[in-house]
Amino acid sequence: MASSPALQTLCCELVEEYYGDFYRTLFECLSQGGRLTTTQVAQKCHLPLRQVKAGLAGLIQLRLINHHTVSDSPSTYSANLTNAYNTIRAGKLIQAAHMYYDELAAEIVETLCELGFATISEVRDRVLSSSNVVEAGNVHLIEHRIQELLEDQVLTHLRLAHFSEAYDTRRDYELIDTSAVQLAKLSGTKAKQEHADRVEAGYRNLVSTTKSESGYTNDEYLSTIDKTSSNGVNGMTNGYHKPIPVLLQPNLHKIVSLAQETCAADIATEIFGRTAGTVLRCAIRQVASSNVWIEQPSEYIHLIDLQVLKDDVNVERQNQTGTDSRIAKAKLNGHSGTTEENDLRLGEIERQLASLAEGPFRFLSSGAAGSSFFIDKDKLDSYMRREEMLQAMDSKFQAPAPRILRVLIDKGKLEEKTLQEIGLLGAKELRQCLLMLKQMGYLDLQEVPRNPQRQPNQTVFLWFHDAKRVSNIILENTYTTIARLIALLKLERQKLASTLIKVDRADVRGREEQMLSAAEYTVLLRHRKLEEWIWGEIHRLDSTVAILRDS
Amino acid sequence: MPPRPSATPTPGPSPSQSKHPVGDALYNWCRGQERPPAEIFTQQELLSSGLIPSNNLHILLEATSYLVARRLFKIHDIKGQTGVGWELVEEAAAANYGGLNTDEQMVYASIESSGTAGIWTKTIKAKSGVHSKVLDRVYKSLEQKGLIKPMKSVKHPQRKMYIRAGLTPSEEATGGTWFNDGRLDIGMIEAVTDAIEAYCSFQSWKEAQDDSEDDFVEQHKRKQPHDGFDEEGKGKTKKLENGRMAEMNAKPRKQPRYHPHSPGYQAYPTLHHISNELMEKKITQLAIPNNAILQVLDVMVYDDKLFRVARDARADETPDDPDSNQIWMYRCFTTPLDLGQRRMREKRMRDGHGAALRAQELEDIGRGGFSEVPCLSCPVFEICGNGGPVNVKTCQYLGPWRAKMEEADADARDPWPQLKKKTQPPVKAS
Ligand code: SF4
Repeated sequence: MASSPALQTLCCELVEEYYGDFYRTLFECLSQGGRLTTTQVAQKCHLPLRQVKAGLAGLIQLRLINHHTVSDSPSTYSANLTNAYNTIRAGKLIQAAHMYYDELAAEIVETLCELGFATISEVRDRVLSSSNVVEAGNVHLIEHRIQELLEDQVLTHLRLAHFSEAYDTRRDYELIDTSAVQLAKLSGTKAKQEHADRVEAGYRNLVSTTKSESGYTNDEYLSTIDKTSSNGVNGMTNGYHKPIPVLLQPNLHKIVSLAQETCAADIATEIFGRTAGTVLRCAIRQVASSNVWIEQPSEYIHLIDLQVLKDDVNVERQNQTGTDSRIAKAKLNGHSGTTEENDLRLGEIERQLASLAEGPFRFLSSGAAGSSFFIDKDKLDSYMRREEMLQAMDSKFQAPAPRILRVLIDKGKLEEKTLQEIGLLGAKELRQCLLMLKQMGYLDLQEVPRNPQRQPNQTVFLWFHDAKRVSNIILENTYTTIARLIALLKLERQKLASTLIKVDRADVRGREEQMLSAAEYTVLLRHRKLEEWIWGEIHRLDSTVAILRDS
Repeated sequence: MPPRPSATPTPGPSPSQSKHPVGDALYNWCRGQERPPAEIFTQQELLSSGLIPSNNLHILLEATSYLVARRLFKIHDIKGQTGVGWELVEEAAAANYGGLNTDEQMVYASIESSGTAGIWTKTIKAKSGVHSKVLDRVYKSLEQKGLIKPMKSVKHPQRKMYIRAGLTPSEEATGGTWFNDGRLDIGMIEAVTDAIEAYCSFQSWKEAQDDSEDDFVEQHKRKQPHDGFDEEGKGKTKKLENGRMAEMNAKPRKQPRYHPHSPGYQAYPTLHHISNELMEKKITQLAIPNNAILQVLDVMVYDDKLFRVARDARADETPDDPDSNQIWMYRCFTTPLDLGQRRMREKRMRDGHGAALRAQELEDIGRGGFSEVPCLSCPVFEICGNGGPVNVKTCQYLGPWRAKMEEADADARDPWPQLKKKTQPPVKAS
């Protein structure tokens, strides 16, 4: 993730919001100072070394910072902005687990979000001690649910390499892999390319979450889940790292694919109705790559498995209509195989897909016979990004700016006169709008002189829209807006500090109505309403970030 | 006031000028050829008329000079060949030069040669080399004589331009059908756009016969919560589900329901259909040419009002894309009912109804992740921040936004608890 001052500020605000002042101070120091040792952090933060070390350990546990050690020099620490930003998504992931699985799954995900990462036995024990949905001793149910969450990548394995910067992991690998060392000594383009490929493959292997650090693949691991869960430590080694416990982490990147499928489904629902929306949502879910660590397939065009899609759609429809026992039927990539009277048949699914493929969803196409459908993942990503960007621009600008932007996105570089003709716009109105968009960074102007003297009257001025740049502007604005909303929350809490302190007391919590005066209680309820709204807006803005930046 | 004597009193062609029989015969011969206007006669062609004795070039030169002097011929260089050619000028047009002085002739010739595109006064000045004060006098005189008229070009609205009096400025200069007096005719464009949208909408959906089908596009297309979660704090979507619009829906009115045509449907309207529809409905007084309609259709596609679908052109159709032999059909994704309601809302918004405005806002932000937080459209976004005078604490926009949230929740029948108003202590009577 490219760092930016707005993102840094937002991450600091988020760390403070979730984990308090102390962690914020350390995190802010690292995000501004880059790679620092404990002593440097202590000096910059004016804190005792012992306290700093404890704080950094806490931040590592929460996966908010990376660390790196090379022999004979002190460990260095750096802020992990990706993970810090992702804390915003924890609530959504818990909610998704609740929606697609059950309360137990939500508790498991919540435990892992709280801990940052944990061994399976730690998760199990915690859930057992706090849960009110699992009967005591029913460890199998918890393990089964963990297995499902792992299968669907709601949870993933945590590898040692995930604690370091990608650069450090690559460097370490280069030093350890003897063939890579040999290749590095050779000169020539081919050798250099081979070296780079080898390091990349090694790096991917180190960060891959399909197997745990101890070398198990998901399936192997799941088949031996009982053994590992009993002692938490596995004896297998991969010859590179010491044996370590199997560690789990919540996969907050899953929210990206959820945001994408939801946004596409909303568009489809708006145009073709709810059934079409559900079909598209389930189809996209089949192709979603929900794991940031997993290698992207080189083939981006996916054939939709219609049978699986049919099952998914019917489960989703049952969920929408409120039919219960979701866990028996629904999983994020679930294959339920249930048949009900009002279930959609395969022919209807095909009809819906054919309708969608004829609509604006260019990433969806049908085969020659019309009974097979494909999703181009690349096109899907760019379609979603484009839609999100247009939506952002539409909500920001009045007519005719959206039209001008759309024409330029479609046609590329254009002269003002041509733009006027294509967009059917008045000269004065167009000129004003172009200047406004240029000032805000949404458009650029290129000068093409007709002669070397570069006289203005002999120069062609071409307007164009740089999508990448505009996307960055929107992202920056979104980060800043989220930070301001968090600041607003803080301000509102300050205003209500005395009531909130009371509410935090163990004897008041849950009995606010009885313990607080009527006026105070009303103020508290109003404050909670406001918080709900603000968090709703923050999650909405996060969907923009998910689609524009992470998909 | 008598006309001022010209500084250069060179009269134009006059009847008193001596006749040239060969020249006159040559002019008549050229007219008899019935060539398209502005076509050039070469020397060979004129010699082949058989009117020049012994094909004597001197006589030919005299004859053509005579006709050029009388403005009945215009000399042209012939591209790619050495030598000149002559263009035939109608007698009526040539008569216009009668009574003009040299400056006036020069200026009028420039204006005339520019045809329907018109000519910029600066270009005339550069061509003629005449002082601008003299030129102003010439323009005035030519205008008074009814030979030229000023014109406006949409491309260069600031420029002072002239065109020959009996001509209509070209489409390029006027901007085409959608311009009136050099200004974009917004009213006409809107009327045509509305008519096209309504027509395409009716053609793109079929009315449901049976209420039991479940994939109808619902009225108002109520949105699910944007990320699929029915959580608290999704006030906007909650509002959409339960708010005023939903109330409107709840009215027990029998409204038509629509669903899309089956996949592969080939009868969405094409340019031809749309053009016929506009003609039938007589949206404008004059017929709109197809290229102008196409221009509007393109704009509607950019405005997301229409969506283009391609199909193979039939034998009796002219393809829009000749390479692939395909024709464009235009599909509207808004149902006729939604369209009607949107228009009603727009009208109410124009009349200043706050509720309609809010409903439109919700419709606009209904999908996608983007939000209605005021910061995103804040005019002081760049300077707002800690340390400055403008920040979250002093913000002028967050207060009204908060009131909006409260209002939206109240609309959604989930009102915020209200603080009891402090009662004023009774004032003691003195
Ligand atoms: S002034 Fe208010 S609305 Fe504007 S950016 Fe600052 S906080 Fe947001």
